[in-house]
Parts: sequence; C-alpha cells; structure tokens
Amino acid sequence: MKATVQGEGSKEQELLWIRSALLGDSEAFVQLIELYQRSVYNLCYRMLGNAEDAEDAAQETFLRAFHSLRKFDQQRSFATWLLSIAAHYCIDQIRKRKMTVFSLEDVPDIEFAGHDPLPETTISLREDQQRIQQLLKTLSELDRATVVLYYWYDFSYEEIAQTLSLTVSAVKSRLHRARRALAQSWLEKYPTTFGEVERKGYESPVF
Amino acid sequence: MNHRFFEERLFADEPLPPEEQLLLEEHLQSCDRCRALRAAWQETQIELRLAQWVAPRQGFSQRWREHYLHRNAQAQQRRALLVFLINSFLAAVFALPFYLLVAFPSQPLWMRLVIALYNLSALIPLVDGISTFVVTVFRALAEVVTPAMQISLGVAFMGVTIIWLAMLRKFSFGRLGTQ
Repeated sequence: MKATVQGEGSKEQELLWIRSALLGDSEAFVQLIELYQRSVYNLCYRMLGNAEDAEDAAQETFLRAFHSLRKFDQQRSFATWLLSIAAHYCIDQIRKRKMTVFSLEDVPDIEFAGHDPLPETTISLREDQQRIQQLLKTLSELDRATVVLYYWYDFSYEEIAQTLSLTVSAVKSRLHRARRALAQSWLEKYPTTFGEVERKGYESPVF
Repeated sequence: MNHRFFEERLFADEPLPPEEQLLLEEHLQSCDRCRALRAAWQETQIELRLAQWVAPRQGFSQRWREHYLHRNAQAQQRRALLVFLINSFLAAVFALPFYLLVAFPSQPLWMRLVIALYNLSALIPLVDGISTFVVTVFRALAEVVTPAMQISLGVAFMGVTIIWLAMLRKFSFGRLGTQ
C-alpha cells in the first residue's frame, strides 16, 4: 500500500506557511512547494505521461495556487486543494492539446521517489512505468484522474469528488468503468497470458 | 443472468454479499471471458498498487522561484503599458477642449481664448522661459474663464490627479500577497 499524499506534514506548520504566504512571503510558499512537489508532480506525470509536461504543469499549479491562495479555505485540506488545481490544469491541457499519445522516450528522465539508483533497479522501474502509462493512456482524462487519485493517493470517493468537482456516484461510476477499461487494455496488451482464453471469450455467443 | 451482471461484480470495489459471490464463482467456472478479465484486473491492480511515485528533478523549488520572478516581470511590464495607455488617454481627454477651442471658435468667449492662445504661441520664442509662458496662460485663462469654471477645472484637475495616483498604486506596485 502506498502512502497517502506524500509530504503531508504538520497541519500547524502548514497553516503558518500559508498565512505567511498570504502576507506576501513567497519564501513561506516555497516551503509548501518543498512539501508537496512530489505529490503534485506525480499527479501531473500520471496525467500527462511525460516528464517535461509534468514539470510545466506542476510549476503552473504552484503559481496558480500562490496567486489564488486567498481563495483557499483554511478549514479544508491544503493537499486536496492543491491537487484539485493540478488535476483540473492537467485535464484542461489534455483537452486543449488532445494529448492522447504518450511519449515514452523521456521516461528515463524521471526520478523515482525513495529509490536507490542501481541500474538494474532503475531499468525495471522504467519498464513498470511504461506499462502503467500505457494502461493509463487508454482512459479518458477524468477517468485517469480518478484512478490516479484512488490508487496513488488513497483518496476516498468523497475526496476524489471534491478534488475533481464530481458527485460521489459519478466517481464510483467512473472508477468502475476505468477498472473495466484497464483490465480490457491489459488483456489486449499482454495476450500471451490470456490470449487463448480471450479469443474463446470473443467467440462466445454471449458477446 | 447476463454477463453485465457478472462484470459489474468483477470490478466492484466493496466485497460482494455471499450469495452474489457464490453466483460469480459459478459463472467464472463456465465463462472463459470473465475469468480472463478477472485475471487481467488482478494483474492490473498489482501494477497499480506497486507503482512508484515519480519525483521531479532536483531544484524544483528554485526553478519555481525563477518562473515566479519571470512571470512577475512580465506582469509588471503589462501593468506599465496599461498605465501609459490610460494616462495617454487622459491627456488626450484634457487636450480635447483646447483643440475644440482652436478648431471651432464660434463662441465669443472661446474666440477670445483662442486669440490668447495664439498670442501665447507667438510669445513663446520671445518671452524669457517657460515660467513666463505659464504665467501668461493663467492670465489668459483668468481673462476668459469665469470663476465658476476655474473652480470646476481645478476640481477636475485634482480628480484626475487622484485617479492617476490610485492607478499608479494599483498597477505599478503590484498587489499585496503577490510579491
């Protein structure tokens, strides 16, 4: 099981930084960036599929967050608010650019959180990343965001709904549809394991 | 029961009631397609659960600082241009009445002002410096503009000065919380 939002620290310290940033202290906001950069970057990377776009999106997310910090309700979770900005920005980018094709060439540029740099480990991790990104790219932008928030960030249905401005039932329905699509994509991409079974399945009169 | 029923249960998040679980297991024994889907989903879930977090390159926050300063510089340039354009517009608004006096000297009072202004322009190379010019302008205005109009012009001038200072404050020095 993965950790929840990485970097989530002391709530009091976080509020102090937010209040300082509200008074115009950009260095206090840099502390918040240090805390949440991995969470935001990871979401952007999973959504956009390449390191360069993920970097731009994460930078833009923090800029937007800094400029609209006054709108942040301090009763809410800062992480959820930040990831909501990131998710919406990435969804807009995908829609604008019609980014349906993922570039896997730049996968070697990415860094894995908390891992040693042994070459064999890195190669294996990159292969895993490629497989996952190939699967994620088959989903629509909102379904992708739902899956990423659910499986990487361990968000509840309510948190996902809040982050993506959806209803809880829409989140459940999107997750269900995404799971089916992911399983289907897996079958199509790795037919050696299931090929025989799959072919038989398609031949079944039920389908 | 059709495949949709079983597929919905294959990808359900919550545990199934025992009777539905039993039905699903029975169906899986006879349906290759659903069995393959379940196996594929189990593999996918493992991939998702084991997937690593991806971190940005070192120096992300430093790059953010640079990005932020660059954006601020761009925004200040835009604000400076806006202030220049607004001031140009206001200057044009102020110059317009004088232009009208020159272009349409139909009214006697205005005609006198026009003559005074023309006299002033003729005086410029002759008189000794700008101060004389300004004094002459005020004298000419005092001659042709009624006291009520003088007060109105003074109030209007003060109003525009206040607006100009407010604009400088708002657009040139940035907003609190964004510096």
